[in-house]
Formats: sequence, C-alpha cells, structure tokens
Amino acid sequence: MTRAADGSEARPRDRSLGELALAIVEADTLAGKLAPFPAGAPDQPRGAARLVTAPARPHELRVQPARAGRVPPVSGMHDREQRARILHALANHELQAVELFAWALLAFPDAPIRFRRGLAVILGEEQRHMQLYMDRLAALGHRMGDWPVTGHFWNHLGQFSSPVHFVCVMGLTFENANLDFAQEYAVAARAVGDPDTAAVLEAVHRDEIRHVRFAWRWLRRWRGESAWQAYLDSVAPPLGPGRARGREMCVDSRRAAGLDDEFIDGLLAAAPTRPSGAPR
Amino acid sequence: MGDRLLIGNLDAEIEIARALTPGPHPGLSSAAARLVGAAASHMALLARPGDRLWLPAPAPPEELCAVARDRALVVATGPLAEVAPAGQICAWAETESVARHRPANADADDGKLSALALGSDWRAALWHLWPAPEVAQRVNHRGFALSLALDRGWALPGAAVVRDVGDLERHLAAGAASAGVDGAWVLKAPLSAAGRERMRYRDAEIGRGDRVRIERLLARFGELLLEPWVDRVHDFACAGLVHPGGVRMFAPHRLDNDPRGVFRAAIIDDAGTPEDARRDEVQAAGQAAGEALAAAGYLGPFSVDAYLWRDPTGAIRLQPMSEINARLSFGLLARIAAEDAGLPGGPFELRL
Repeated sequence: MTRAADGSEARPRDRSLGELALAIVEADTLAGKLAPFPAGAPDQPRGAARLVTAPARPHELRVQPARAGRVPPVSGMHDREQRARILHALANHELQAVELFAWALLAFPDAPIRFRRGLAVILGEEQRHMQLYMDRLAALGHRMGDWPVTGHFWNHLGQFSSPVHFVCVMGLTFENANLDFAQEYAVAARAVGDPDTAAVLEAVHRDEIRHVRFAWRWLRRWRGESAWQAYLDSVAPPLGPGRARGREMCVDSRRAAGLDDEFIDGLLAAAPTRPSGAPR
Repeated sequence: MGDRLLIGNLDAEIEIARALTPGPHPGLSSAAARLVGAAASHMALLARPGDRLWLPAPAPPEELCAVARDRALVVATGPLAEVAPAGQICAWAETESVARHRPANADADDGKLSALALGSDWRAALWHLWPAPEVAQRVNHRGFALSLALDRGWALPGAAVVRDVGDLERHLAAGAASAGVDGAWVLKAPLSAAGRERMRYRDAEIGRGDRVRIERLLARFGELLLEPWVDRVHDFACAGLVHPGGVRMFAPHRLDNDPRGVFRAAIIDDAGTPEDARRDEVQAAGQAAGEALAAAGYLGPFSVDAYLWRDPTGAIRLQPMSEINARLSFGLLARIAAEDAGLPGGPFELRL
C-alpha cells in the first residue's frame, strides 16, 4: 500500500502498472508475489526503462544453484512425495513467470499499450497457476519453500533485451515447452489416481496455449512473416528450439496456439534438450 | 490512412470459448450463420462508401441491411486470416484473430482518443478503441459480470456458478430456482450469445437424459451459470465507451427480446417512457460496469443488459445488470442510425 501526499492510503487500483510490477518484483513474501494485479491499472507514468537484475524473495525461496533444485522425472508422479516435489518445481516456474512478466512491464515502458495490458493479464494468470499448484502442494502436506528453488527462467535474463526477445524466450521457448510438459504431467497424474492435480495441469495447459498465442501474435506483428527465422535470431544457446519442446511434441497444441507450419516443422526437427544442454 | 475494414464477427463468443474452455465448440450451423451474417451487415452504419465488411457467413444481397447496400460496401466472407489487411479495423468484438489482422503501430494518442470518445463524433472513436484480446476474453466471461453483480447485490436470488451436476443439485435443493416462473431455471454457458448454449428446465429433479446433456455442456465449458428463469416484463440495455480517460455512458435504451430472451430490436428513446422509470439505476449499473471494465484493462464499446421482472409474489423488481457485453452492440448501432436519421436520442428502432 502506498501513501498519497495527503497521508491517505492509495488503493492498489490507483497505482500504475509499473508501480504494481515493481512491487511484485521487490516483494519478499509470497502474499506480495500474489498481490492482486489489476490489468487495467493506469499505465502512466511509465518512466524510464528499469532493469531489475534479481527478484526479492522470502528467505526460503531465494534462488539456489541448479544442482540444489533437482526435480524428479515424470515417472515420479506415482510417489506422493516425489509428486509434491514436482508440483513445488512447477509452482516455482510460475513464481518466476509472475516476476518476469512484471520485470517486462518495468523494462519495456515504450512497448505498445495492448502488449503491456496483455502482459498484465498473463501475469495475473501466472499468479493463479502458482496458487493452484500451491493448493495441490498443500493437499499433499507441503508448502512453498519445503525444497530449494532454482532460477530456471531468471538465469536467462541476459536474453531479454527487447520485447521481441522477451516473447521469444518466455512465450515461444519456456511456455511453448510447457505445452508438452503440462500435458505429460497431467496424463501421469491422472494415471496415478490424482485427478485434482491432473485438472490443474490441464487448466494450465489450456492457458499456456493462449500465452504462446500472445507471444506468437506479437512476434508476427513485430517481425512479419518469417517468424521462425526471427525466433532463431532472438534466442541464443543454451536456449533455442530444443528447449521449446518436450521429448514428445504435441503438434495440436502448437496449431491451437496459431504457430505456422514452418515454425512447427522447425520445432519437430529440433532435438529436445534439457536445461543442462544434454539430450532429453 | 489506408482502406478500412469492418469485421462483423458476431460469433466472437465461439472463438473466445475455444480459447478459454475445454470444448469442443463447433461453428454456427449454416442457418444460424446466415442469420448472423445478415445481422452483422448492420455494422455498415459505421462505414463510409468503399469500406470493406467481413461477415462470418455469406448473406444474400437481399438479406443485407439497407445501409450496407446503399454504401456500396465490399462484402467479404471466408476465413478472416485470408482477408487482405487494412489500414484501419473496427470489429464487433476483439478476438485473437482480429488482433492478428490489425496493422502494426496502430496505437493512437490517449488524449486524442478520449476527446474523440467524449465528443459528438464518438462513432469515429470505435475505429480506434479496442482492447488487448486477452482482456476481452476475460471480461466477456459471464463470471466477470457475476462477480460484479454479487459484489453490488445485483445478482438474481439463487444465481451461482456450478461445476458439476452434484453442485447444481445442491443449489437447486437450497432453492436456487424459487424465484423462477413455476420453479424454472436456466443454465448458461460462460461464453455464449443470442440465447445459444443454454438449457432451460422446470423441475428440480434432473432426469437421466437431462443429466447427460448438462454433463456434456459442463465438459465443454468447465462451468455454467445457474439462474432462476424469471418472468421478464421489460428489457433495457445501456451502452457506453471505455476510453483511456474514463467511461462515457449513453442513456439506456429499450430492448425487444423474444420470449426466449433472444434479441429482436433496440429502441432508442432517450425521453423515456413510464416503463423506464428505473432507467437511472440501469445507467448507474452501466457506469459501474464500465468502471470495472476499465479496471480490467478494457478499452472500447460495451453494453449491459437489464430488465424488470415479476417475482413469485407479483412484485416488480429490477435486475440492473444481467450481462456485460464487452463489444459493440445493436444498441450503439441503433444510436448511430438514429443520429443519421436526424433523430439523435430517438425515438428510433433498429430491428433485425
């Protein structure tokens, strides 16, 4: 809550998108990360671009080296404890997405207003996903912070040099890959008799299609027809097509997201890789 | 400025439903598509000669509205993606396929947009005010309107979102349909228009066949809005524009709906009639809806539906906001037609 010049408390609605975004990135509590984010908040003043290098976090959620946050494979879904660790990692992905969509609102003040409103809407949906995963974690007797978390997305901050790069990395790489992972985990959760977790993953998958479509639409708008080449030009190793898909690639989800044949064929031809760069 | 394209996507709810819910959501039947195509031709009221008009389905020339014929619009149908780009676009509703069609760098200055929306040539603002499609998806979901209605105490008694048949049965057992005509109730899909995708029943006992039909609709949409089916005695609507500086509301207009609640005509009569005694409350609800839309990041035209209804005791009650339509509406088109006819504020009737 901010204070106005007359000492009264300003309601969240009165804060600008940039101020709300900064509050998310700088929040050191989970409640702060999940604070309501009205997509229609005023978009003025936007101020100069602000590049935040790392998010504030509660102590138990500070970013750890990748080796500290190893996640069980999908086969671990059969085991309640491993399933909880998987859900914890997925919630951490959503937390980073929340922060990075806020980061983009701060970093790209000159982007078109409708792009910024879209970022704000998606940020709210990432918050909802995070809450859904946290609810499933709670149902399994755990909570955020029970295991170390990594900076899986934040580690690639250097690649977010423009809105085009942002949609290529966040939307067309990480969220694109989740079109496969969310579905794979959902199938596994259902197979082990956890329909509630499966339903959450299916809902996330459905939203992810729209998020990829958002990225695709803006890439096409900014870079015209050769979106595949524009994508390749905008992501650098270790990211790239191999990180934008799972081992099994769901073509239907890509079609639903609006990706064209050239892009889909490019993804199909790419060998899926792990964050380490090893083959998946 | 380049050429201009009107997109008469009156079937936008299907596209939004496909984006937000499990589906499947088939397109309109050919008969419905033809009716929609003819109705969409009224967007010609926003055109000038030579503009292009895209319709979701072919409509024979004799079924196009007179203005579309008079203004010699170039009518196109077929996949929207295959329609040639345009310098300016005005759509019935913002969707992802519309957004893909918009030219790059189409943003206008906020101050100029607000001045346009607040001025006498407000119809020109409709070519410049549109939301991000992600926002349009969110606010056209019935849950958005229900949330505002519950917050303001406007929801019909018993109105609720249900996610499975057990949930529905619990609400019905608790009297959710008691305000309905002879206990009638309706289930509405969260994204639907023109009376499509809804089921009306009269009995709290759900038969086997009905249960299957309800379960199918639930599977396609994930959740449904339950309401008592009340005795509507007078339908209103109130249209407005959300612009960067706020909300412009127009006076409420009357709706002529058929007994199933399907739109037939919008009647502009700002002087009002005795039945319109509660129009101030309708306008206030419209203003609140406009502010909620603005808070959600929406920009563009909208309307709220409202009605007077007779409760089981015979008392007449107002439902000041039954739906929010975050898109163009026939009420706004009727207002434009009234102005063009030299009757700003009416009385004027736009009938499909």
